[in-house]
Amino acid sequence: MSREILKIVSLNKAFGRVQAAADINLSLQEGVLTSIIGPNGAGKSTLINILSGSIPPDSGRIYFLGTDITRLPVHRRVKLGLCRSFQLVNIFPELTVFENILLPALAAADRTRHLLRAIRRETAVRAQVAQLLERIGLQHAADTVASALSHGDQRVLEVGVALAAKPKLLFLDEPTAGMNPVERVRVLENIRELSHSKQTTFVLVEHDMDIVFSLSDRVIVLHHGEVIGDGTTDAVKNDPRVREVYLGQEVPA
Amino acid sequence: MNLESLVHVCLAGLSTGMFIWLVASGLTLIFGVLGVLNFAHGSFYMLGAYCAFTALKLMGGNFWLGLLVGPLVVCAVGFVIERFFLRHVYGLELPYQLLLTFAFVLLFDNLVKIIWGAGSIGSPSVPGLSGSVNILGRFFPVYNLFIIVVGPLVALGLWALIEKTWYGRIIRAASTEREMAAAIGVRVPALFTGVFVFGTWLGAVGGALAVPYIGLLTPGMGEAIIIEAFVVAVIGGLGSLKGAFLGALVIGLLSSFGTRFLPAFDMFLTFILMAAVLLWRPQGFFGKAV
Amino acid sequence: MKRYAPILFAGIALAALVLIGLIGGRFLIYLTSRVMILSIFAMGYNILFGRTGLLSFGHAAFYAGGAYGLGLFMLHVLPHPLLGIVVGVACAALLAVVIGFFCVRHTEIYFAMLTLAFGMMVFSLIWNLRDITGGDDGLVGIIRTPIALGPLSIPIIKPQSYYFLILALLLLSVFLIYRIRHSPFGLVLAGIRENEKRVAFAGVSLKNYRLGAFVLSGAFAGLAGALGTLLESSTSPFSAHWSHSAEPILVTLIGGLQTFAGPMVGSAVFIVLREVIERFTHNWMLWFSIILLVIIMGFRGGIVGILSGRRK
Repeated sequence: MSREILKIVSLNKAFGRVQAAADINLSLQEGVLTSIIGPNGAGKSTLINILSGSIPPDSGRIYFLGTDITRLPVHRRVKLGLCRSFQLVNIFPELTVFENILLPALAAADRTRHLLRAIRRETAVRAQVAQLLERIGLQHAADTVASALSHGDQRVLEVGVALAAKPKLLFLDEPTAGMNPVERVRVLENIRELSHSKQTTFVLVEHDMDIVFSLSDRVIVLHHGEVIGDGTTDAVKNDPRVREVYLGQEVPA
Repeated sequence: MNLESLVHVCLAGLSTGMFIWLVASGLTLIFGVLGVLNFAHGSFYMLGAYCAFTALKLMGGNFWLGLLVGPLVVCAVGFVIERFFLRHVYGLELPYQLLLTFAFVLLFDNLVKIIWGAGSIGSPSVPGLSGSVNILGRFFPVYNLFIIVVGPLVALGLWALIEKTWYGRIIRAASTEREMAAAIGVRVPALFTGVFVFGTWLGAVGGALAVPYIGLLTPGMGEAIIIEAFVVAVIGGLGSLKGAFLGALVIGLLSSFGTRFLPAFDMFLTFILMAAVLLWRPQGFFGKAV
Repeated sequence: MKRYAPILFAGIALAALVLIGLIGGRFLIYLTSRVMILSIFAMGYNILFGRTGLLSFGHAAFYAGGAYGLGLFMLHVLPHPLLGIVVGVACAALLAVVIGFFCVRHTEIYFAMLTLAFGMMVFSLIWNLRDITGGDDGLVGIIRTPIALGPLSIPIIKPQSYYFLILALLLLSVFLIYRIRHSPFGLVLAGIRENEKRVAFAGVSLKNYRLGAFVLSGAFAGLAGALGTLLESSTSPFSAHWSHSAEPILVTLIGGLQTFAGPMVGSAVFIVLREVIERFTHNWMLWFSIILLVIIMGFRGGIVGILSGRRK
């Protein structure tokens, strides 16, 4: 049994009358690739926003590797090892691809406080960045300004920036949206590999059921801010409540 | 401190406050609708004062005619600024907007020196409102009482305009939901120009009314008042007219009591209040949440 | 060729500065001294503004912090210019820590208004605490005594020798700011300007780094203030006034925002143009504001931007 990486205790969040998170209790295990699915407006984005620190919950507690992080600001959570990527491209548009990755990598290595040290001298971190770029297939574009990349490449870079923070737990919000098939395969391969090597535990928010069912060890289904299904892919596929929510939508059996 | 001096300090505070309010109202309106913090608003105030003065001279010394004509001239200036300059920087980052309006401050300060000379000009008194009245044994200028009355009247007029008229509804819609207003057929650019010109007019009227109040016209008179107007607008909550009105009262009273009791720290108090509001309640007394 | 152009320009500029110091007349030396001091002020300001996008109306307070720190130290403690400069910079940095601690909680217009409020508090204190600061007269009679370094004593009373002290400190500032720009810290600041949300998700505290940039730029403002005080032998309370805070931004705008040389080019153009225009007319402000309007409306890359073929 692997250890518990994230524990969510009776989490609630309402926006006016809309209950975006209704008494959510979850425990995520290290190394278990988990997907969160649900119809539009099910509360997936809200949940990620709460867990990564962008929105405070109304009530409830969040524990990351045993530490209570409910009230910690975003950057402290990232320092502990909890990071996320974004659904919309959210990179540094005027920095080069290399610098985009370098910034979080330097932060992860605790080297951003150096005022007068030339960034060229940070050879160890630079080597890691080069390695990561190769891994995600952007090494040829290292010196390109990020805004000049194609949309698909920007999406890949988005995932790369999140990975560069060396998170122990990483939320990926629709990581492959807007990618072409080649990029998609590459990114999914990366996720699979990193997940197997247990460096990073992934939580995916996805619409594409093919990806969800081919990749995930565990699937959590949200509906109206409530967890209505939770288990292995097969268990969830055959859950009557889940089928009911997705009625009329295609569920690959 | 006896009752008489308390009353007089309060009256002085009220007239100062109402006076700042006249300037801050236009500034706040423009910020509320256009989202631009307009440094040049102080210049409109200055131009209003000078134009009213010249109009008064040209038209036989009638103060009220000057008050009517002067600010209208300044409106034309406001129109040019919005239509040909500001409109092109709405999409840019905040500093460009601020610096653009700041450039106009320098421009108008210099233009006033060229047209009216670098020295101060004494102002004529207003027939019927000159002199002082005896209040509890001390004399208080009639004109300052007039300002104390005009301030709330302007506030009332603005309130009626914004809350009770069709124009007001559109202005409110455009300031909160710009896209929505455009979608229902409001010509937002034209509305922005209109609001800017109206705000300009308010500032210029403030300047025209200032002529007898401060007694002197000096180039650069706009720079002192704009900072006070900023303070008031911030304390009330940027963009809130109600807040600006109350903020002006608070600052007017604070500065008159400050001058009376802590003359060395009167300016300091004003700015410490401004900083405190920004830190603890950045949306001000009545502003929208940040 | 294009790669070496900046180095070539820097070389020519340095040679010109040295040459002016060696053979320039009294007036040219005074004018160039002012250009260099304004350059330090503007370059320091640009650490905050050019890199993080925060527009401060309070930096005049730090300039004054350096000026009055040096002035009071030299008049009452020890007439040692170099120590005075150190004290001035320290005062400015300390003031920036205190003021910055509060100001970096906000961004955009609220940041600008907060810095305005704090800056004007400093101004009002300088204005009103006559016994300490001399009120509207400022501090006077700050003499450039020789710099004592152990057995060595370097006289700087002559404008020419003081000129080289300023030049040395300008070069030091350029070096430091260049290093900061190309350090990991500098990359984080660039990131904050580009996308502050993402910087937080890289695990970096936005407030701390904003404060860092704020204090650094405040320290350089203090250096400029201290040097300006030694140049004029006096301080003026108006050096703390908010309108003085706008000067570094405006010259940087002319030179080119977000370029390394922009603040220096802008300072030179600002001071030289002012001298030239004031020879012919009294309406320098008019011309200056027209230049600003042209740049804001059409040439936001400034002079450096135009020269390097970038139009932002």
